[in-house]
Amino acid sequence: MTTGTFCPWQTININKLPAIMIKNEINPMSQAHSDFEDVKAPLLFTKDNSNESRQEIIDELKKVLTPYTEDKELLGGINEETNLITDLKINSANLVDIIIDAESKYNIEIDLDSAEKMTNVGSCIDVIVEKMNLKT
Amino acid sequence: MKSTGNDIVALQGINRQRTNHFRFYSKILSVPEQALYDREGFPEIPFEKFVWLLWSIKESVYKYLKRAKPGLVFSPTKIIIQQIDPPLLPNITSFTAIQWENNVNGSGENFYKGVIVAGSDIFYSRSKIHDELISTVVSADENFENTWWGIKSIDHNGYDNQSRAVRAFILDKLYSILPDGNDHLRIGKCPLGCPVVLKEAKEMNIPVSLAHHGYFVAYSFLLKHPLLQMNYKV
Repeated sequence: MTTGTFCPWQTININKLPAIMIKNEINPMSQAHSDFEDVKAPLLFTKDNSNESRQEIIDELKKVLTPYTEDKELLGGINEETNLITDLKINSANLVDIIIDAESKYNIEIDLDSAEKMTNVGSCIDVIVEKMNLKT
Repeated sequence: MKSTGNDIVALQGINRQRTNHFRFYSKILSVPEQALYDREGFPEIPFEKFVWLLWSIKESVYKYLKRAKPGLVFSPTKIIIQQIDPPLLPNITSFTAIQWENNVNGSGENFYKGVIVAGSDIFYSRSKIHDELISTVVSADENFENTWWGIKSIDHNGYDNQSRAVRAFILDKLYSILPDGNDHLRIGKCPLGCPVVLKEAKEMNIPVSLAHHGYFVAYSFLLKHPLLQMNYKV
């Protein structure tokens, strides 16, 4: 078993890393920097935009969206066409929260022009992938 | 364009600490808008309330415009608040009434008043701030002629309940002011997703805007008072 120091307060088992991180030889020795204590999620780095990686981002995105939608059952069945407001009934007042949480989760910065595109799950993934690719 | 837009923010549902973080409010307010807080002087409201006041104005303008521009995307920093003036005697109190309704122009209330530019359009805003909520209505008419506005507290939050409550609220008001014969109205949605008043499945020419957040719902609509328009038609 190989272990690595993930951050000063957490150790991870590399064998249990998501496959996409291993496949793309991503350095897991990183941690999302968050100004907000409620978001402390390991980063999921990806260099590609394959269906597999997009599905992994959807799975992570569900966790971001969970606090802001009351219909958890609907959240379980989201796909790229799912609209955040009309389908998930997320109040528009929470849209900035979601952008901030996504920034923290993936250690990216989402500019205003990109943020306005994030109306459905697919466009959220597009923006996240685009910003993550800018880092690599 | 004949339209209306309103928004309500339940302050219990916002994260005050997060709102005060630059990373958060800079996604809503431009630098000049941030400067309005200091320049205009709002000693009665903390900065996070100012942020949500401007959010509610921008959201209201977006709703107004969306009726005519179906592909419009909400982009807060592209709706520019040029001016926001506090009331002469600002006094933030609790929203003790179960509901509040008024014709905006004729109310004499102490509103926060704003001037907004969105593209080539100019809008005017009226906002009420209470301890629990911020509610805004916007109009392209500086005098808000024929604009009606209502706020109501509800017992249960949750999307379905909010949706039912705000529809019942606005219909009660419409029934109270429309001439006899306007029965069995309902609130539907146009193909573009905007709320519309339906009478026997036909859309009435009454632009409406609905808002809900937490334990509050609000409406605005544009309607010339029936006493001045007795032959109101579908």
